[in-house]
Amino acid sequence: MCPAPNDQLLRLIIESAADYAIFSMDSGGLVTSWNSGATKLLGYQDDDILGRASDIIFTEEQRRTGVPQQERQTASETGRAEDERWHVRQDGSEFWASGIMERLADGSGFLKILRDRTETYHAQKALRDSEERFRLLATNIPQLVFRTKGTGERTWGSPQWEVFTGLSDSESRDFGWLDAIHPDDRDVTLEAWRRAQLDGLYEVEHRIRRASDVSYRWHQTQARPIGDPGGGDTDWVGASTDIHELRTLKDRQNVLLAELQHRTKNLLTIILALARATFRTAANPETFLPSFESRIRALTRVQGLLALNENRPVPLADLIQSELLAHAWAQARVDVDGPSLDVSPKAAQALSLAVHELATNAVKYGALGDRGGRLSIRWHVGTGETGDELLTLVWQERDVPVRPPMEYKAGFGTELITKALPYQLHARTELRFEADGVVCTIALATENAR
Amino acid sequence: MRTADALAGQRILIVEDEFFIAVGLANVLQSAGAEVIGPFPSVSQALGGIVSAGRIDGALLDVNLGDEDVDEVAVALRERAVPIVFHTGYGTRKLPPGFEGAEVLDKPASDELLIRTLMRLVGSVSPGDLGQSAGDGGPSTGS
Repeated sequence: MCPAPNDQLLRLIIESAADYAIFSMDSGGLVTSWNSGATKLLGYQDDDILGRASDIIFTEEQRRTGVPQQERQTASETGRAEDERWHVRQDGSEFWASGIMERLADGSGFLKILRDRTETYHAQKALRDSEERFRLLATNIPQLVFRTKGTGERTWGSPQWEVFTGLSDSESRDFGWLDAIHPDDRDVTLEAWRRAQLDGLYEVEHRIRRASDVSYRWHQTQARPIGDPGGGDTDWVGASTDIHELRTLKDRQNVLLAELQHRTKNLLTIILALARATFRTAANPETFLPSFESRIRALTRVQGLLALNENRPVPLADLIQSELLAHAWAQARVDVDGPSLDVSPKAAQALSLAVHELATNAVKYGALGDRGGRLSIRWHVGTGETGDELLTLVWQERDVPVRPPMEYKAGFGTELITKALPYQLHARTELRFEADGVVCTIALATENAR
Repeated sequence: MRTADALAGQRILIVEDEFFIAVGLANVLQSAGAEVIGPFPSVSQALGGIVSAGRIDGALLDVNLGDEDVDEVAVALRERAVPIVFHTGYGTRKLPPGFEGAEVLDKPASDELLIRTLMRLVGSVSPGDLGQSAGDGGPSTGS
Protein backbone atom coordinates (compact mmCIF):
# COMPACT_ATOMS: atom_id res chain seq x y z
CA MET A 1 0.00 0.00 0.00
CA CYS A 2 1.16 3.49 -0.76
CA PRO A 3 1.63 5.72 2.23
CA ALA A 4 -0.92 8.55 2.36
CA PRO A 5 0.64 11.67 0.81
CA ASN A 6 1.08 14.54 3.20
CA ASP A 7 -1.04 17.66 2.87
CA GLN A 8 1.78 19.61 1.25
CA LEU A 9 2.20 17.12 -1.59
CA LEU A 10 -1.54 16.88 -2.16
CA ARG A 11 -1.84 20.66 -2.39
CA LEU A 12 1.04 20.70 -4.88
CA ILE A 13 -0.63 18.13 -7.08
CA ILE A 14 -3.93 19.95 -7.04
CA GLU A 15 -2.32 23.33 -7.75
CA SER A 16 -0.37 21.87 -10.67
CA ALA A 17 -3.48 20.60 -12.39
CA ALA A 18 -3.94 24.05 -13.93
CA ASP A 19 -6.33 22.87 -16.67
CA TYR A 20 -8.78 21.48 -14.12
CA ALA A 21 -10.87 23.52 -11.76
CA ILE A 22 -10.71 21.56 -8.51
CA PHE A 23 -12.53 22.80 -5.46
CA SER A 24 -14.32 21.49 -2.44
CA MET A 25 -17.41 22.53 -0.61
CA ASP A 26 -19.16 21.65 2.62
CA SER A 27 -22.36 19.67 2.61
CA GLY A 28 -24.35 22.92 2.21
CA GLY A 29 -22.38 23.88 -0.91
CA LEU A 30 -20.14 26.60 0.61
CA VAL A 31 -16.68 26.61 -1.00
CA THR A 32 -13.96 25.31 1.32
CA SER A 33 -10.97 25.12 -1.07
CA TRP A 34 -10.23 26.54 -4.56
CA ASN A 35 -7.23 25.64 -6.73
CA SER A 36 -5.47 27.86 -9.29
CA GLY A 37 -7.12 25.91 -12.12
CA ALA A 38 -10.48 27.00 -10.70
CA THR A 39 -9.33 30.62 -10.66
CA LYS A 40 -8.11 30.29 -14.22
CA LEU A 41 -11.34 28.76 -15.46
CA LEU A 42 -13.92 30.60 -13.38
CA GLY A 43 -12.16 33.90 -12.61
CA TYR A 44 -12.74 33.97 -8.85
CA GLN A 45 -9.71 34.45 -6.56
CA ASP A 46 -9.62 32.47 -3.29
CA ASP A 47 -10.77 35.53 -1.37
CA ASP A 48 -13.74 36.06 -3.67
CA ILE A 49 -15.11 32.61 -3.30
CA LEU A 50 -13.98 30.82 -0.12
CA GLY A 51 -16.89 30.53 2.28
CA ARG A 52 -19.39 31.54 -0.39
CA ALA A 53 -22.02 29.40 -2.08
CA SER A 54 -20.56 27.42 -4.98
CA ASP A 55 -23.96 27.73 -6.65
CA ILE A 56 -22.86 30.98 -8.29
CA ILE A 57 -20.98 29.04 -10.96
CA PHE A 58 -24.34 27.75 -12.19
CA THR A 59 -26.51 29.73 -14.57
CA GLU A 60 -29.45 31.60 -13.16
CA GLU A 61 -31.81 29.14 -14.82
CA GLN A 62 -30.01 26.14 -13.28
CA ARG A 63 -30.08 27.77 -9.85
CA ARG A 64 -33.76 28.57 -10.17
CA THR A 65 -34.58 24.97 -11.03
CA GLY A 66 -32.48 23.57 -8.22
CA VAL A 67 -29.75 21.92 -10.28
CA PRO A 68 -26.93 22.57 -7.75
CA GLN A 69 -28.91 20.97 -4.90
CA GLN A 70 -29.85 18.00 -7.06
CA GLU A 71 -26.21 17.45 -7.97
CA ARG A 72 -25.16 17.45 -4.33
CA GLN A 73 -28.03 15.15 -3.49
CA THR A 74 -27.02 12.66 -6.20
CA ALA A 75 -23.39 12.76 -5.05
CA SER A 76 -24.49 12.39 -1.48
CA GLU A 77 -26.65 9.37 -2.27
CA THR A 78 -24.51 7.58 -4.85
CA GLY A 79 -21.08 8.98 -4.02
CA ARG A 80 -20.71 10.66 -7.37
CA ALA A 81 -22.51 12.98 -9.85
CA GLU A 82 -21.39 13.53 -13.39
CA ASP A 83 -22.63 15.95 -15.99
CA GLU A 84 -21.92 18.17 -18.97
CA ARG A 85 -23.48 21.58 -18.86
CA TRP A 86 -23.04 25.32 -19.11
CA HIS A 87 -21.35 27.15 -16.20
CA VAL A 88 -20.85 30.84 -15.49
CA ARG A 89 -17.59 32.68 -14.84
CA GLN A 90 -17.18 35.59 -12.46
CA ASP A 91 -17.40 38.00 -15.40
CA GLY A 92 -20.76 36.47 -16.39
CA SER A 93 -19.43 34.66 -19.50
CA GLU A 94 -20.49 31.06 -19.97
CA PHE A 95 -18.49 27.94 -20.82
CA TRP A 96 -19.36 24.31 -21.49
CA ALA A 97 -17.85 22.03 -18.88
CA SER A 98 -17.74 18.39 -18.08
CA GLY A 99 -17.80 17.94 -14.34
CA ILE A 100 -17.55 15.32 -11.65
CA MET A 101 -18.71 15.76 -8.09
CA GLU A 102 -17.43 13.27 -5.50
CA ARG A 103 -18.67 12.89 -1.96
CA LEU A 104 -15.77 13.38 0.47
CA ALA A 105 -14.90 10.21 2.30
CA ASP A 106 -15.73 11.64 5.74
CA GLY A 107 -19.10 12.96 4.56
CA SER A 108 -18.13 16.53 5.38
CA GLY A 109 -18.79 17.80 1.91
CA PHE A 110 -17.93 17.35 -1.79
CA LEU A 111 -15.07 17.63 -4.20
CA LYS A 112 -15.82 19.03 -7.65
CA ILE A 113 -13.62 18.82 -10.73
CA LEU A 114 -14.51 20.80 -13.89
CA ARG A 115 -12.92 20.87 -17.26
CA ASP A 116 -13.57 23.41 -20.02
CA ARG A 117 -15.03 21.52 -23.00
CA THR A 118 -16.41 24.53 -24.89
CA GLU A 119 -14.33 23.93 -28.02
CA THR A 120 -15.14 20.25 -28.15
CA TYR A 121 -18.76 21.16 -27.53
CA HIS A 122 -18.81 23.52 -30.51
CA ALA A 123 -16.99 21.01 -32.74
CA GLN A 124 -19.42 18.26 -31.81
CA LYS A 125 -22.37 20.55 -32.25
CA ALA A 126 -21.11 21.56 -35.70
CA LEU A 127 -20.83 17.88 -36.60
CA ARG A 128 -24.27 17.12 -35.22
CA ASP A 129 -25.74 20.09 -37.10
CA SER A 130 -24.05 18.99 -40.28
CA GLU A 131 -25.33 15.44 -39.89
CA GLU A 132 -28.78 16.78 -39.15
CA ARG A 133 -28.65 18.97 -42.24
CA PHE A 134 -27.63 15.95 -44.35
CA ARG A 135 -30.39 13.90 -42.80
CA LEU A 136 -32.96 16.64 -43.43
CA LEU A 137 -31.74 17.04 -47.00
CA ALA A 138 -31.55 13.34 -47.71
CA THR A 139 -34.95 12.64 -46.23
CA ASN A 140 -36.85 15.66 -47.56
CA ILE A 141 -35.72 16.14 -51.15
CA PRO A 142 -37.84 14.35 -53.76
CA GLN A 143 -34.81 12.30 -54.84
CA LEU A 144 -34.22 8.78 -53.57
CA VAL A 145 -30.91 9.06 -51.74
CA PHE A 146 -28.67 6.15 -50.90
CA ARG A 147 -25.21 5.23 -49.69
CA THR A 148 -23.37 2.42 -51.31
CA LYS A 149 -20.02 0.75 -51.81
CA GLY A 150 -18.20 1.59 -55.01
CA THR A 151 -19.21 -1.79 -56.39
CA GLY A 152 -22.93 -1.17 -56.02
CA GLU A 153 -23.71 -2.91 -52.71
CA ARG A 154 -26.07 -0.60 -50.91
CA THR A 155 -25.44 0.31 -47.29
CA TRP A 156 -28.29 2.76 -46.66
CA GLY A 157 -31.40 4.02 -48.41
CA SER A 158 -33.37 7.14 -47.55
CA PRO A 159 -36.94 6.80 -46.26
CA GLN A 160 -38.17 8.06 -49.67
CA TRP A 161 -36.59 5.01 -51.28
CA GLU A 162 -38.44 2.74 -48.88
CA VAL A 163 -41.73 4.55 -49.44
CA PHE A 164 -41.32 4.71 -53.24
CA THR A 165 -40.21 1.12 -53.81
CA GLY A 166 -41.84 -0.55 -50.84
CA LEU A 167 -38.51 -2.23 -50.12
CA SER A 168 -37.31 -1.87 -46.52
CA ASP A 169 -33.81 -0.68 -45.78
CA SER A 170 -32.69 -4.21 -44.95
CA GLU A 171 -34.33 -5.67 -48.08
CA SER A 172 -32.50 -3.10 -50.18
CA ARG A 173 -29.05 -3.76 -48.75
CA ASP A 174 -26.27 -5.24 -50.84
CA PHE A 175 -27.96 -5.84 -54.22
CA GLY A 176 -31.48 -6.21 -52.81
CA TRP A 177 -32.37 -2.81 -54.34
CA LEU A 178 -32.03 -4.37 -57.80
CA ASP A 179 -35.43 -5.96 -57.23
CA ALA A 180 -37.06 -2.54 -57.73
CA ILE A 181 -35.28 -1.99 -61.06
CA HIS A 182 -37.18 -2.98 -64.22
CA PRO A 183 -35.95 -6.44 -65.31
CA ASP A 184 -35.08 -5.07 -68.77
CA ASP A 185 -32.91 -2.35 -67.20
CA ARG A 186 -30.93 -4.51 -64.75
CA ASP A 187 -28.15 -5.26 -67.21
CA VAL A 188 -27.47 -1.59 -68.00
CA THR A 189 -27.70 -0.83 -64.30
CA LEU A 190 -25.04 -3.39 -63.36
CA GLU A 191 -22.96 -2.37 -66.37
CA ALA A 192 -23.05 1.21 -65.05
CA TRP A 193 -21.55 -0.02 -61.76
CA ARG A 194 -18.75 -1.78 -63.65
CA ARG A 195 -18.05 1.44 -65.53
CA ALA A 196 -18.21 3.39 -62.27
CA GLN A 197 -15.10 1.53 -61.02
CA LEU A 198 -13.13 3.17 -63.82
CA ASP A 199 -14.86 6.53 -64.12
CA GLY A 200 -15.38 7.29 -60.44
CA LEU A 201 -18.96 8.20 -61.42
CA TYR A 202 -22.06 6.04 -61.54
CA GLU A 203 -24.66 7.25 -63.98
CA VAL A 204 -27.62 5.40 -65.48
CA GLU A 205 -31.19 5.90 -66.67
CA HIS A 206 -33.47 3.10 -65.58
CA ARG A 207 -37.03 2.35 -64.54
CA ILE A 208 -37.73 2.01 -60.81
CA ARG A 209 -40.87 0.31 -59.59
CA ARG A 210 -43.27 2.52 -57.67
CA ALA A 211 -44.98 0.49 -54.98
CA SER A 212 -48.10 2.68 -54.74
CA ASP A 213 -49.40 1.73 -58.20
CA VAL A 214 -46.85 -0.96 -59.21
CA SER A 215 -45.79 1.12 -62.20
CA TYR A 216 -42.24 1.63 -63.41
CA ARG A 217 -41.05 5.21 -63.67
CA TRP A 218 -37.91 6.39 -65.42
CA HIS A 219 -35.21 7.71 -63.11
CA GLN A 220 -31.78 9.09 -63.63
CA THR A 221 -29.47 7.75 -60.96
CA GLN A 222 -26.04 9.15 -60.16
CA ALA A 223 -23.56 8.31 -57.45
CA ARG A 224 -20.12 9.59 -56.58
CA PRO A 225 -17.50 8.55 -54.03
CA ILE A 226 -17.27 10.65 -50.89
CA GLY A 227 -13.76 11.99 -50.49
CA ASP A 228 -10.86 10.01 -51.88
CA PRO A 229 -12.07 7.66 -54.60
CA GLY A 230 -8.82 5.69 -54.42
CA GLY A 231 -9.66 3.57 -51.42
CA GLY A 232 -11.36 0.28 -52.18
CA ASP A 233 -13.97 0.58 -49.47
CA THR A 234 -14.77 4.24 -50.08
CA ASP A 235 -18.34 5.19 -49.33
CA TRP A 236 -20.40 6.43 -52.27
CA VAL A 237 -23.49 8.58 -52.07
CA GLY A 238 -26.09 8.68 -54.81
CA ALA A 239 -29.56 9.85 -55.74
CA SER A 240 -32.28 8.80 -58.17
CA THR A 241 -34.27 11.57 -59.81
CA ASP A 242 -37.66 10.95 -61.43
CA ILE A 243 -37.32 11.89 -65.10
CA HIS A 244 -40.40 10.00 -66.24
CA GLU A 245 -42.25 12.99 -67.73
CA LEU A 246 -39.11 14.18 -69.47
CA ARG A 247 -38.30 10.74 -70.76
CA THR A 248 -41.90 10.17 -71.90
CA LEU A 249 -41.83 13.47 -73.75
CA LYS A 250 -38.57 12.47 -75.39
CA ASP A 251 -40.04 9.12 -76.44
CA ARG A 252 -43.11 10.90 -77.73
CA GLN A 253 -40.91 13.28 -79.67
CA ASN A 254 -39.14 10.33 -81.27
CA VAL A 255 -42.49 8.84 -82.24
CA LEU A 256 -43.62 12.17 -83.69
CA LEU A 257 -40.36 12.53 -85.56
CA ALA A 258 -40.78 9.06 -87.08
CA GLU A 259 -44.40 9.89 -87.91
CA LEU A 260 -43.28 13.12 -89.56
CA GLN A 261 -40.71 11.23 -91.58
CA HIS A 262 -43.35 8.73 -92.62
CA ARG A 263 -45.76 11.44 -93.69
CA THR A 264 -43.06 13.26 -95.61
CA LYS A 265 -42.14 10.11 -97.50
CA ASN A 266 -45.80 9.37 -98.11
CA LEU A 267 -46.41 12.88 -99.39
CA LEU A 268 -43.38 12.68 -101.68
CA THR A 269 -44.67 9.37 -102.98
CA ILE A 270 -48.06 10.97 -103.67
CA ILE A 271 -46.38 13.91 -105.41
CA LEU A 272 -44.40 11.54 -107.62
CA ALA A 273 -47.57 9.60 -108.39
CA LEU A 274 -49.40 12.84 -109.21
CA ALA A 275 -46.52 13.83 -111.51
CA ARG A 276 -46.83 10.53 -113.28
CA ALA A 277 -50.62 10.75 -113.58
CA THR A 278 -50.40 14.37 -114.75
CA PHE A 279 -47.84 13.39 -117.36
CA ARG A 280 -49.96 10.47 -118.48
CA THR A 281 -53.12 12.60 -118.85
CA ALA A 282 -51.50 15.80 -120.16
CA ALA A 283 -52.92 16.88 -123.54
CA ASN A 284 -49.43 17.94 -124.64
CA PRO A 285 -45.99 18.41 -123.02
CA GLU A 286 -46.50 22.18 -122.59
CA THR A 287 -49.44 21.72 -120.26
CA PHE A 288 -47.61 19.31 -117.96
CA LEU A 289 -45.72 21.80 -115.83
CA PRO A 290 -48.53 24.31 -115.15
CA SER A 291 -50.98 21.49 -114.41
CA PHE A 292 -48.54 19.68 -112.14
CA GLU A 293 -47.65 22.89 -110.27
CA SER A 294 -51.25 23.82 -109.67
CA ARG A 295 -51.99 20.32 -108.30
CA ILE A 296 -49.01 20.54 -105.96
CA ARG A 297 -50.29 23.92 -104.77
CA ALA A 298 -53.71 22.38 -104.07
CA LEU A 299 -51.98 19.60 -102.15
CA THR A 300 -50.00 22.22 -100.23
CA ARG A 301 -53.18 24.12 -99.35
CA VAL A 302 -54.94 21.08 -97.94
CA GLN A 303 -51.78 20.07 -96.04
CA GLY A 304 -51.71 23.58 -94.59
CA LEU A 305 -55.36 23.30 -93.60
CA LEU A 306 -54.68 19.94 -91.96
CA ALA A 307 -51.63 21.30 -90.12
CA LEU A 308 -53.75 24.20 -88.89
CA ASN A 309 -56.20 21.65 -87.47
CA GLU A 310 -53.36 19.55 -86.03
CA ASN A 311 -54.15 16.78 -88.48
CA ARG A 312 -57.64 16.31 -87.09
CA PRO A 313 -60.76 16.48 -89.22
CA VAL A 314 -61.28 19.83 -90.97
CA PRO A 315 -64.54 21.62 -91.78
CA LEU A 316 -65.71 20.77 -95.32
CA ALA A 317 -66.72 24.43 -95.87
CA ASP A 318 -63.16 25.62 -95.09
CA LEU A 319 -61.75 23.15 -97.53
CA ILE A 320 -64.05 24.31 -100.35
CA GLN A 321 -63.51 28.01 -99.59
CA SER A 322 -59.76 27.50 -99.62
CA GLU A 323 -59.88 26.02 -103.13
CA LEU A 324 -62.30 28.65 -104.45
CA LEU A 325 -60.17 31.46 -103.03
CA ALA A 326 -57.14 30.03 -104.79
CA HIS A 327 -59.01 30.38 -108.08
CA ALA A 328 -59.93 34.02 -107.55
CA TRP A 329 -63.59 33.13 -107.80
CA ALA A 330 -66.27 35.64 -108.68
CA GLN A 331 -68.28 35.59 -105.48
CA ALA A 332 -71.47 36.91 -107.05
CA ARG A 333 -71.68 33.87 -109.33
CA VAL A 334 -70.98 31.23 -106.70
CA ASP A 335 -73.35 29.88 -104.09
CA VAL A 336 -71.88 27.66 -101.39
CA ASP A 337 -74.19 26.04 -98.87
CA GLY A 338 -74.24 23.03 -96.58
CA PRO A 339 -74.35 21.95 -92.95
CA SER A 340 -71.31 22.14 -90.73
CA LEU A 341 -69.35 18.92 -91.22
CA ASP A 342 -65.76 17.86 -90.51
CA VAL A 343 -63.94 15.50 -92.83
CA SER A 344 -60.98 13.25 -92.01
CA PRO A 345 -57.47 14.12 -93.25
CA LYS A 346 -57.60 11.29 -95.77
CA ALA A 347 -60.97 12.38 -97.17
CA ALA A 348 -59.93 16.04 -97.02
CA GLN A 349 -56.94 15.47 -99.27
CA ALA A 350 -58.91 13.59 -101.92
CA LEU A 351 -61.90 15.97 -101.82
CA SER A 352 -59.62 19.03 -102.00
CA LEU A 353 -57.94 17.71 -105.12
CA ALA A 354 -61.36 16.96 -106.63
CA VAL A 355 -62.66 20.47 -105.89
CA HIS A 356 -59.40 21.82 -107.25
CA GLU A 357 -59.85 20.00 -110.56
CA LEU A 358 -63.48 21.12 -110.86
CA ALA A 359 -62.55 24.73 -110.07
CA THR A 360 -59.58 24.75 -112.45
CA ASN A 361 -61.74 23.46 -115.26
CA ALA A 362 -64.56 25.87 -114.34
CA VAL A 363 -62.08 28.75 -114.71
CA LYS A 364 -60.84 27.41 -118.06
CA TYR A 365 -64.09 26.29 -119.63
CA GLY A 366 -67.02 26.81 -117.28
CA ALA A 367 -68.89 28.90 -114.76
CA LEU A 368 -65.82 30.59 -113.27
CA GLY A 369 -64.48 31.69 -116.66
CA ASP A 370 -64.92 34.86 -118.70
CA ARG A 371 -67.90 33.62 -120.69
CA GLY A 372 -70.34 33.77 -117.81
CA GLY A 373 -72.30 31.19 -115.87
CA ARG A 374 -73.22 30.38 -112.27
CA LEU A 375 -71.94 27.79 -109.85
CA SER A 376 -73.60 26.24 -106.85
CA ILE A 377 -71.84 23.93 -104.42
CA ARG A 378 -74.21 22.28 -101.99
CA TRP A 379 -73.95 19.35 -99.67
CA HIS A 380 -76.23 17.59 -97.27
CA VAL A 381 -76.20 14.54 -95.02
CA GLY A 382 -78.92 11.95 -95.52
CA THR A 383 -79.55 8.23 -95.32
CA GLY A 384 -78.25 6.04 -98.12
CA GLU A 385 -79.94 3.00 -99.70
CA THR A 386 -78.15 0.64 -97.29
CA GLY A 387 -79.21 2.72 -94.31
CA ASP A 388 -75.83 4.32 -93.57
CA GLU A 389 -75.33 8.04 -93.24
CA LEU A 390 -74.40 9.54 -96.58
CA LEU A 391 -72.71 12.84 -97.41
CA THR A 392 -73.75 14.08 -100.84
CA LEU A 393 -71.94 17.00 -102.44
CA VAL A 394 -73.26 18.47 -105.68
CA TRP A 395 -71.20 20.80 -107.86
CA GLN A 396 -73.49 22.31 -110.42
CA GLU A 397 -72.56 24.79 -113.13
CA ARG A 398 -75.36 26.58 -115.01
CA ASP A 399 -75.74 29.04 -117.85
CA VAL A 400 -72.34 28.18 -119.27
CA PRO A 401 -72.57 29.05 -122.97
CA VAL A 402 -69.74 26.86 -124.25
CA ARG A 403 -69.31 23.07 -123.85
CA PRO A 404 -65.97 21.87 -122.47
CA PRO A 405 -63.49 20.24 -124.87
CA MET A 406 -62.69 16.55 -125.04
CA GLU A 407 -59.44 16.99 -123.05
CA TYR A 408 -61.48 17.86 -119.97
CA LYS A 409 -63.59 14.75 -120.29
CA ALA A 410 -60.58 12.43 -120.62
CA GLY A 411 -58.33 14.37 -118.28
CA PHE A 412 -56.83 13.99 -114.86
CA GLY A 413 -59.79 15.60 -113.08
CA THR A 414 -62.18 13.08 -114.56
CA GLU A 415 -59.97 10.19 -113.49
CA LEU A 416 -59.65 11.66 -110.03
CA ILE A 417 -63.40 12.05 -109.59
CA THR A 418 -64.61 8.89 -111.30
CA LYS A 419 -61.84 6.52 -110.21
CA ALA A 420 -59.68 7.84 -107.33
CA LEU A 421 -62.57 8.89 -105.08
CA PRO A 422 -64.39 5.55 -105.44
CA TYR A 423 -61.08 3.74 -104.86
CA GLN A 424 -59.90 5.70 -101.82
CA LEU A 425 -63.11 6.76 -100.13
CA HIS A 426 -65.60 4.19 -101.44
CA ALA A 427 -67.44 7.18 -102.88
CA ARG A 428 -70.06 6.97 -105.58
CA THR A 429 -69.38 9.74 -108.05
CA GLU A 430 -70.88 11.05 -111.22
CA LEU A 431 -69.50 13.66 -113.62
CA ARG A 432 -71.95 14.84 -116.27
CA PHE A 433 -71.37 17.35 -119.01
CA GLU A 434 -74.81 18.94 -119.39
CA ALA A 435 -75.81 21.41 -122.08
CA ASP A 436 -75.35 24.45 -119.82
CA GLY A 437 -72.50 23.21 -117.61
CA VAL A 438 -70.81 20.50 -115.60
CA VAL A 439 -72.63 18.64 -112.85
CA CYS A 440 -70.59 16.57 -110.42
CA THR A 441 -72.10 14.51 -107.62
CA ILE A 442 -69.98 12.93 -104.91
CA ALA A 443 -71.70 10.67 -102.39
CA LEU A 444 -69.79 8.95 -99.62
CA ALA A 445 -70.62 7.29 -96.36
CA THR A 446 -69.87 9.75 -93.57
CA GLU A 447 -67.92 7.02 -91.77
CA ASN A 448 -65.47 7.15 -94.69
CA ALA A 449 -65.42 10.95 -94.65
CA ARG A 450 -64.92 11.48 -90.95
CA MET B 1 -33.02 -9.58 -119.71
CA ARG B 2 -35.13 -6.77 -121.10
CA THR B 3 -37.18 -4.69 -118.73
CA ALA B 4 -40.37 -5.48 -120.63
CA ASP B 5 -40.25 -9.13 -119.64
CA ALA B 6 -38.47 -8.85 -116.29
CA LEU B 7 -41.63 -10.05 -114.54
CA ALA B 8 -43.20 -11.78 -117.50
CA GLY B 9 -46.16 -13.92 -116.50
CA GLN B 10 -45.78 -13.20 -112.80
CA ARG B 11 -49.02 -12.51 -110.98
CA ILE B 12 -48.38 -9.74 -108.45
CA LEU B 13 -50.95 -8.52 -105.92
CA ILE B 14 -50.83 -4.84 -104.96
CA VAL B 15 -52.31 -3.27 -101.81
CA GLU B 16 -52.05 0.53 -101.66
CA ASP B 17 -54.68 2.96 -100.39
CA GLU B 18 -53.62 5.99 -102.46
CA PHE B 19 -55.19 5.72 -105.91
CA PHE B 20 -52.49 7.44 -107.95
CA ILE B 21 -49.68 5.59 -106.16
CA ALA B 22 -51.54 2.33 -106.75
CA VAL B 23 -52.07 3.11 -110.43
CA GLY B 24 -48.41 4.12 -110.78
CA LEU B 25 -47.22 0.85 -109.20
CA ALA B 26 -49.61 -1.17 -111.36
CA ASN B 27 -48.37 0.54 -114.52
CA VAL B 28 -44.73 -0.12 -113.63
CA LEU B 29 -45.35 -3.81 -112.95
CA GLN B 30 -47.46 -4.21 -116.09
CA SER B 31 -44.75 -2.57 -118.17
CA ALA B 32 -42.36 -5.20 -116.79
CA GLY B 33 -44.68 -7.92 -118.02
CA ALA B 34 -46.47 -8.72 -114.78
CA GLU B 35 -50.16 -9.41 -114.36
CA VAL B 36 -51.48 -7.17 -111.61
CA ILE B 37 -53.99 -8.46 -109.06
CA GLY B 38 -55.75 -5.43 -107.63
CA PRO B 39 -54.67 -2.89 -106.67
CA PHE B 40 -56.71 -2.97 -103.48
CA PRO B 41 -57.15 0.01 -101.13
CA SER B 42 -58.28 -1.85 -98.00
CA VAL B 43 -57.77 -5.04 -95.99
CA SER B 44 -61.25 -6.42 -96.73
CA GLN B 45 -60.92 -5.85 -100.47
CA ALA B 46 -57.43 -7.35 -100.50
CA LEU B 47 -58.58 -10.45 -98.58
CA GLY B 48 -61.41 -10.86 -101.09
CA GLY B 49 -58.91 -10.47 -103.91
CA ILE B 50 -56.64 -13.17 -102.47
CA VAL B 51 -59.53 -15.63 -102.33
CA SER B 52 -60.63 -15.07 -105.91
CA ALA B 53 -57.23 -14.46 -107.48
CA GLY B 54 -56.10 -18.00 -108.14
CA ARG B 55 -52.30 -18.16 -108.38
CA ILE B 56 -50.37 -15.31 -106.73
CA ASP B 57 -46.59 -15.18 -107.33
CA GLY B 58 -45.79 -12.18 -105.20
CA ALA B 59 -47.27 -9.24 -103.31
CA LEU B 60 -46.44 -5.58 -102.92
CA LEU B 61 -48.02 -4.24 -99.73
CA ASP B 62 -48.36 -0.74 -98.33
CA VAL B 63 -48.17 -1.08 -94.54
CA ASN B 64 -50.48 1.72 -93.43
CA LEU B 65 -53.84 1.90 -95.18
CA GLY B 66 -55.22 5.06 -93.65
CA ASP B 67 -57.16 3.89 -90.61
CA GLU B 68 -56.02 0.26 -90.73
CA ASP B 69 -52.80 -1.73 -91.11
CA VAL B 70 -52.11 -4.38 -93.72
CA ASP B 71 -51.27 -7.08 -91.12
CA GLU B 72 -54.14 -9.47 -91.87
CA VAL B 73 -53.36 -9.43 -95.58
CA ALA B 74 -49.72 -10.28 -94.90
CA VAL B 75 -50.75 -13.22 -92.73
CA ALA B 76 -53.16 -14.53 -95.37
CA LEU B 77 -50.45 -14.32 -98.02
CA ARG B 78 -47.90 -16.08 -95.84
CA GLU B 79 -50.34 -18.94 -95.36
CA ARG B 80 -50.23 -19.32 -99.14
CA ALA B 81 -46.43 -18.98 -99.15
CA VAL B 82 -46.64 -15.87 -101.30
CA PRO B 83 -43.41 -13.79 -101.16
CA ILE B 84 -44.10 -10.27 -99.86
CA VAL B 85 -42.42 -6.89 -100.37
CA PHE B 86 -43.54 -4.14 -98.03
CA HIS B 87 -43.65 -0.66 -99.54
CA THR B 88 -43.63 1.82 -96.67
CA GLY B 89 -42.49 5.20 -95.41
CA TYR B 90 -42.04 3.74 -91.93
CA GLY B 91 -38.92 1.77 -92.79
CA THR B 92 -38.69 -1.51 -90.90
CA ARG B 93 -40.28 -0.15 -87.73
CA LYS B 94 -43.96 -0.76 -88.36
CA LEU B 95 -43.95 -4.06 -90.17
CA PRO B 96 -46.73 -6.45 -89.13
CA PRO B 97 -45.82 -8.59 -86.10
CA GLY B 98 -43.94 -11.70 -87.24
CA PHE B 99 -42.69 -10.02 -90.44
CA GLU B 100 -39.75 -8.18 -88.87
CA GLY B 101 -37.17 -9.62 -91.23
CA ALA B 102 -39.29 -9.16 -94.33
CA GLU B 103 -38.30 -7.45 -97.56
CA VAL B 104 -38.89 -3.68 -97.36
CA LEU B 105 -38.87 -1.01 -100.02
CA ASP B 106 -38.61 2.49 -98.64
CA LYS B 107 -41.22 4.84 -100.09
CA PRO B 108 -40.88 6.25 -102.66
CA ALA B 109 -38.99 3.45 -104.39
CA SER B 110 -37.71 3.82 -107.93
CA ASP B 111 -39.27 1.71 -110.68
CA GLU B 112 -36.01 -0.11 -111.21
CA LEU B 113 -35.56 -1.05 -107.56
CA LEU B 114 -39.18 -2.09 -107.40
CA ILE B 115 -38.84 -4.45 -110.36
CA ARG B 116 -35.50 -5.86 -109.25
CA THR B 117 -36.72 -6.53 -105.76
CA LEU B 118 -39.80 -8.33 -107.05
CA MET B 119 -37.69 -10.28 -109.54
CA ARG B 120 -35.40 -11.46 -106.81
CA LEU B 121 -38.35 -12.43 -104.64
CA VAL B 122 -40.61 -14.19 -107.13
CA GLY B 123 -37.53 -15.59 -108.86
CA SER B 124 -36.75 -17.53 -105.72
CA VAL B 125 -39.98 -19.49 -106.29
CA SER B 126 -38.67 -21.03 -109.50
CA PRO B 127 -35.02 -22.00 -109.01
CA GLY B 128 -34.35 -21.93 -112.76
CA ASP B 129 -34.69 -18.14 -112.89
CA LEU B 130 -32.78 -17.51 -109.73
CA GLY B 131 -29.24 -17.27 -111.07
CA GLN B 132 -30.21 -15.01 -113.91
CA SER B 133 -32.39 -12.79 -111.75
CA ALA B 134 -29.92 -12.47 -108.94
CA GLY B 135 -27.09 -11.64 -111.32
CA ASP B 136 -29.19 -9.11 -113.17
CA GLY B 137 -30.66 -7.55 -110.08
CA GLY B 138 -27.57 -7.43 -107.85
CA PRO B 139 -26.54 -4.15 -106.27
CA SER B 140 -23.30 -3.98 -108.31
CA THR B 141 -25.26 -3.32 -111.49
CA GLY B 142 -25.86 0.26 -110.43
CA SER B 143 -28.65 2.49 -111.66
